[in-house]
Amino acid sequence: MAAKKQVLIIGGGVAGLSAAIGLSQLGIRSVLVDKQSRLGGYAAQYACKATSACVKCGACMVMEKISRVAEDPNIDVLTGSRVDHISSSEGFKAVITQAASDGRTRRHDHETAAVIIACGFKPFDPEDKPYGYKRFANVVTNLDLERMLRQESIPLRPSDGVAPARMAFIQCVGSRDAKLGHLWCSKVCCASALRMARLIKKRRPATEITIFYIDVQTFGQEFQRCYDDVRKEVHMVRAIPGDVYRTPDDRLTVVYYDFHSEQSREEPFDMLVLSIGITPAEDARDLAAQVNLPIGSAGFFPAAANGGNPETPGVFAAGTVCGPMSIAESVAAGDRAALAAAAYLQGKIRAEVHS
Amino acid sequence: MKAPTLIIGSGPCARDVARHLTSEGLQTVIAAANWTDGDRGPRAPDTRGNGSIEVLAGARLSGCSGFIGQFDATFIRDGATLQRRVAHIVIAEDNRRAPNFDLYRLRAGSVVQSLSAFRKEFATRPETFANRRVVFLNGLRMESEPVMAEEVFRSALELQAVSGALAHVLTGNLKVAGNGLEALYRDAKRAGTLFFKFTDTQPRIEQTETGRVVIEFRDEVTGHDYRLSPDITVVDERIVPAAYVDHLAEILRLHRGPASFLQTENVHRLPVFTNRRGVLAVGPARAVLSPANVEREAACGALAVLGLANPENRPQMDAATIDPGRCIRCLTCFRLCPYGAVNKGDRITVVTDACAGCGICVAECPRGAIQLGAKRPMIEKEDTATSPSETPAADPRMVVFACARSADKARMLAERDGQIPPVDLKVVTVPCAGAVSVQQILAAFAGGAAGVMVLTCHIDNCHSETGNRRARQRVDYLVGHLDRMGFGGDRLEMATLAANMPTEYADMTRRFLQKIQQRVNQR
Repeated sequence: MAAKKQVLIIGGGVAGLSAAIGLSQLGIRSVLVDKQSRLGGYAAQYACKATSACVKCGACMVMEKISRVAEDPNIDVLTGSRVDHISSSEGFKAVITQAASDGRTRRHDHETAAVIIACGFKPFDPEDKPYGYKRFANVVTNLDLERMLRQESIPLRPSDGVAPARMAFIQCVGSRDAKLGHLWCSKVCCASALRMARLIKKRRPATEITIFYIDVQTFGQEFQRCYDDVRKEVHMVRAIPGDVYRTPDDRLTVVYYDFHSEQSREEPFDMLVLSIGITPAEDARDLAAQVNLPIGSAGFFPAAANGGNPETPGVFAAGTVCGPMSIAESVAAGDRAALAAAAYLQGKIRAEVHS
Repeated sequence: MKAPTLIIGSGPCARDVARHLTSEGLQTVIAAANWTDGDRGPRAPDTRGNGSIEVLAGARLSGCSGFIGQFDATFIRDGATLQRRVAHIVIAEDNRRAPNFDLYRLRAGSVVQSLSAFRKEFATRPETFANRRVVFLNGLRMESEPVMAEEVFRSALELQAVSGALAHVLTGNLKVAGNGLEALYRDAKRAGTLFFKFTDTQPRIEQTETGRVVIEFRDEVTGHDYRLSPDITVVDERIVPAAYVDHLAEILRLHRGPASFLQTENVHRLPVFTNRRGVLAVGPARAVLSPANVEREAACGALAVLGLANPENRPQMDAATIDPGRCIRCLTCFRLCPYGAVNKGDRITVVTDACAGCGICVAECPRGAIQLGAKRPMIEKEDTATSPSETPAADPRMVVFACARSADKARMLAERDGQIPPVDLKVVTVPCAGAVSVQQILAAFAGGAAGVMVLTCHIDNCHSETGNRRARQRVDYLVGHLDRMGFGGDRLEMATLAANMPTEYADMTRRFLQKIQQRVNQR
């Protein structure tokens, strides 16, 4: 009975961490499984983007959640672990393989009464886009830039380690793209690009920054002020660049259509940042099939699965596995899945008492 | 029987919170200021659990004393006063729409409508829109929201289905950052809606004396000139908190965000916590949210209440206590406590369950009458005393006061990643930099430190809201004095850090050490 009063949480990113903490607050034990060797998911690699004040990106909260989870006796953490198989009949049986430090693997069998799937997203792979990713060293993704700002404080060109004098962001790479069938906005990349641009301007004011965009998305209560400030120091260009090529002096030329002059324009930059979109996690489809949860055509879990799906009792989804979400939204989704799972467990207990 | 949870709100969010809580067996009271008995009517209580719902329809909160576990709320209903003792308070009030007529210099009327008014009319009599030309103005003079964009896309899509009707959408940035919005936008476009986006230009909007609207612009993409004379012009809206929410914030002493929503977007309070323990702000009262997100937040609010109600979750940190023998009732603590945890009774006391243990009051109490836990002062002299070095010039001693939520976490990460600078740092972890008093900084110097750093979180990130600002004031004050005394104000520095800034932690301490080292060597 006690062992059954447990929840398996797949994915230790923001949503999974929040769900585990939420369950623990209600006195419910959970097993938190993550493929990576450390908890926190992608958000744990993000940089603090505060300039003179906090810009409310929420990245620092991930650290706080990780330490809370580490100290919580109600949460068992299995990192470097993969859920090989889940079967559902009278609760859930999961087979988990954990990579040990000596290169061997350990098998864990867990029986739980509910499952929360929070396995996150897959960053869009921009290799097939005409922007030279992986062909030109100085074309990086927004996630690369997050890590760079986290580790080095400023952007540095991968080719020579020099700080770029002119850099550009290209937004919506892999998002809002009918050709790819990606009919969604990834929600978080505008906030991330604008905040990173401001941070770079603050740390290296001489850096010239251009952002190529389709539409700038709102974030936070102070968006209007933030956006007005950004436009004073960052060159905003409404265009989807068509091509990027490398010049003999190791710069990158971005080609785009300028509707003001009604002609094609070329602009040189020292470094290019591709704001890559949020796409469904690789294991989402497989996990959904194992627990019989229907998945949306785009490959994301249905948003309603956050609060539970009547056809698959005991299965809940949280975070970006349901579609693009900010850190704040993922926290809320983790909470909601925790409450729904708790209510489900209580309903089961009541049913057992009555029978 | 445990005191119930008070839910303040008249809409679906309040009802959802109540439903979640009662099914977990909690007793609830809904104070629905805008619910009158004949109106919509409260739904029958959910009897799945052992909980209950009492609805106070038409009751407005007029006062509230007490603290988490025991709030005494007073309401006014039909001129009469009602009272309830409640354990927790959830504010789930709806927000309000303010049409942007002023931004476009338009007068409301039958040909100029707010989006809400249009949607209401269209829902009841769609056939009257046959052969009508409707222009939607969205996010042109001021940035819009996905919630608003969704309603515009949906309206345009539905309008296109009416015989002969044509929808134009004149818009700034299209806010598609919501579930399904990009697809909905494309559907509206495919159905025949004409979208015109404005980047650096604005359409010229004029309203004649008869009320007719004329809109002229050059399409930025094609360069074509347009002159529209729509039958109906629909104006977007700003979403703002209801005036009642302002009133609630005052009664409950809650911090407000820039747009007056009941949350400052302080990341430590995500998603639904406020500065007061036991008071939660959920859904439309806290931010602009889509209906789906409001539903999600109702669950977050319920989870927060259940977490607070669980005795196992009593906070582990040391709470502040006031020594009645030393207290002169100056109320400095009452004034400064960001959590509203000080009780003005016959004696001034700190309510343990409401206290977050930040130590701001400890540092500011002019009589030294407050302590955290068993410790007074919170940071003892021996905490900051540095052992004398035989070669102080080569290895000056440094004391770093590090906020436990930010700088100290950054330090731990730096140590994990092997980034720690080779320096003899005495790190004193404090619950909040607002706890570090002027005396404690001086004591660190007196104890042998050649340099002292105060490391806090960034402005607007402080869990205690004002702790880092107070630390800044004290450091600035001391730096001035140390300079005038010829001691060197630059021996004291304050810097801001986040928990995820290990590199900067290592850099800052290394740089400060070098500076102090140079100073010592110059002597």
